[in-house]
Amino acid sequence: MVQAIRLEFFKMRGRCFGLLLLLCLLVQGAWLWWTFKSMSHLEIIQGWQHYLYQLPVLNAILLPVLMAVMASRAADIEHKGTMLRQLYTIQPAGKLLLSKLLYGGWYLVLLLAGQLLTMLLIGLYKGFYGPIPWGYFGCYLLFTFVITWCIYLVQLLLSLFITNQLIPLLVGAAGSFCGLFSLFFQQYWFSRLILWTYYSQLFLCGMNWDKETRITEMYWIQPDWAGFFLLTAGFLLTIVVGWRLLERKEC
Amino acid sequence: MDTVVWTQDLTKRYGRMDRVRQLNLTVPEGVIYGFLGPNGAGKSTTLKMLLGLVRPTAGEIELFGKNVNSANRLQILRQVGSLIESPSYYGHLSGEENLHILQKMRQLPERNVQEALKIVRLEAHRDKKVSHYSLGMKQRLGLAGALLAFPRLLILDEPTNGLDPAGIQEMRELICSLPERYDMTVLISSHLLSEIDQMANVVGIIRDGEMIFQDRLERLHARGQKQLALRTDDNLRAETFLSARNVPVQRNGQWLLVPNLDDDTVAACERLLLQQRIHLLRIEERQKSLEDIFLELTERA
Amino acid sequence: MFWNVMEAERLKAHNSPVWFAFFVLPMIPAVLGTLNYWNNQDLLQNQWQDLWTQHTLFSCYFFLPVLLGVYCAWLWRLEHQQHNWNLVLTMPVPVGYLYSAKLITVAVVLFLTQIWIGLLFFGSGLLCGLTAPFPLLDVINWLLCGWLGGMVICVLQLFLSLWIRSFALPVGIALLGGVAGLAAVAKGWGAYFPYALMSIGMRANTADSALSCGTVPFLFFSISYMLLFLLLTILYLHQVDLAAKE
Repeated sequence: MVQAIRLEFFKMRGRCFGLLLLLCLLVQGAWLWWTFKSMSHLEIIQGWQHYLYQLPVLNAILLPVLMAVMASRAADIEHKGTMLRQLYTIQPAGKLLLSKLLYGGWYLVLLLAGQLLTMLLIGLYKGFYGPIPWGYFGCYLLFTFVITWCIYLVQLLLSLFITNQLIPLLVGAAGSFCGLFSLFFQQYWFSRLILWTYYSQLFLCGMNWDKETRITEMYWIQPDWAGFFLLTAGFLLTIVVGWRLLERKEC
Repeated sequence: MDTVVWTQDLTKRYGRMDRVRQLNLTVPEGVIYGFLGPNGAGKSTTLKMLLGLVRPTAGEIELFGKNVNSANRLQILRQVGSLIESPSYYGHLSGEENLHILQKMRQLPERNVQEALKIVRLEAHRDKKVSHYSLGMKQRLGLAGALLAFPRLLILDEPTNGLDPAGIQEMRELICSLPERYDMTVLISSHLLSEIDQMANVVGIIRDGEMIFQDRLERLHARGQKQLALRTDDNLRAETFLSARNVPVQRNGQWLLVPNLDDDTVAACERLLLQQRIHLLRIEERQKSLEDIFLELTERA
Repeated sequence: MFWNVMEAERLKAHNSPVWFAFFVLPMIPAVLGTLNYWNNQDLLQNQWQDLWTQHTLFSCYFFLPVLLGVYCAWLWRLEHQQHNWNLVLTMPVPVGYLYSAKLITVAVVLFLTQIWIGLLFFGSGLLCGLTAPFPLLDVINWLLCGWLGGMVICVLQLFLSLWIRSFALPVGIALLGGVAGLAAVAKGWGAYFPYALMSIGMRANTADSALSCGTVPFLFFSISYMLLFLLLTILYLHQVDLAAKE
């Protein structure tokens, strides 16, 4: 398995995975910096909470389509040179799926580490009040990782099964669109079934904006562990089903 | 002799159409098996089924005497190298890098890559990106990938596709040398008769998904009955005279066709014709070409 | 001759899922936006105008740039694949015709999408039981300006997809561009940024009759950007050996 992952890194040279995620990080970092630049004193006190309100929004906007693009690039190298025909005679299909999944997962870890670093740097520079809420940050990182990795998995499966990359990209666009709406609009009963809405469902921080006093008040939301476990169960189920289907695929 | 590939009643159905129908393929060890058939006959589908790339609707497959199923398939395929339809590659990587990937996946020693590149004469282009290769070079790379493990069984689908005449000859010489040099059994599919004629020693002909001939190449040739063609200075009288002597004669333009008579009978005929003052001008040995035999076989309903 | 090229483009689009996307995807903001409006009617007083922003805010900044990016990438993908350039370049057709045909195709598709968005908007408003008179002239204005701004993105994306032979990479750029557009508009630099012009034209932030950056700057930058990317495309088509690249 380690060999397979190493080969995946070798295969994906020059595919700009890292570059895309770096760009994403830069955009997010710039956005955060620009938001916090003009913060009032009251807002700075609640700075750490502001992060966990802003970042899921930024993630929901950027990450789904980015994952669709990255998964498409990861799968397309096999379609372009009809490599699947050769690979299927050498290694199990499941190994291919897992190695591509782990490859994407690694870059995701790097991205989230970058996000954490950015948060800490800006926060400490601006002098956010109070101790760093490691517990909530940990939850945020874990939740974001699983949601985004799951989106990457779904996109990867679509891109591996369907040679025409147009379709997975359109699905990714449609899904991210639904996710965006769920961020700002209320949750409906069917939201639980749509993967892209989990960025908002697993929010850790809420905001109350008083119209009259024009004061923003942030408050913590208890982590929705039920939702998270539902998500994780869905993720594992998707791997198993995807694995089975991939093995049965004819080349 | 052991059988390397064996199938029984191998069938593949797509919708309501049988792409391959009850195929019984037998490839003995150490031969070069030429799998012939018109375009769309089911050659590639059959080869894909052998490799497990396509799931058969019915029938059994045995490779190296072992029944192939999903559990042991990859284990058995370690001894098989393949090049199906078109070469597989990563365009953004060089030829050598592509082979390295296969080498690592198959857990082979590094020197196999160098050896394979040498055999297919791609050493000069090893560092070039495969997307910049010509069609022939990609084909060679595909072959190198198939040869990489020096497998017991090599399955090649139209291996000379895209090669120039020099390349075709090289490929042919290479394939012919494989059983002797590396103890390989080679299964080649092609729609080019001349190619198979020069390479194979066992032939299987498939038409509309069914095997219509499977035997040694000599037997296929033997199907082309030999005939003698005669030309005299008076064909009309010669025809009448020979027919009266119970020699089956067929007129074909300026020639008279008779069966492949033995030497004594031919000498006797000549003597008799001369007695009738009919002079024999030409005698030719004619045989149906392989192409004619093939067309005859594949056109027969 | 040119109409033959257009007909060829139309045939190439046959059996493609793109039509489906342009038809179905605008329904998502229509449905969800309307639902949200319905649930917040006490907060949102300006009837048609508020409903409009619900429909168009996300579309203009995120979804439409991505969709246009995907479509433009797909238009060139057909030529980039299977050595199709070899076939295309030996046709007795100037390559400029080919580009123009694709540009016109995407312009028409975008125009039809705008009409569809308008129809969905009208229908949603009726469903919500809005009593105020339908601002027909304003809506036509917004849709047309949105179409013009959208064409800027199309010309840019067509150039990117011609230059970058990957399918997905220009789509990623379109997404990042759209997001950056949001930032640009918030900062007040919307008119200077190509990806933001569609949002300004569509009045995605506030449904006013006037353009937030002013009519002249909007027209000027829209046309300038289109000419710039058009020029880059023409230069590229003439200078670069299209069939040699893989």
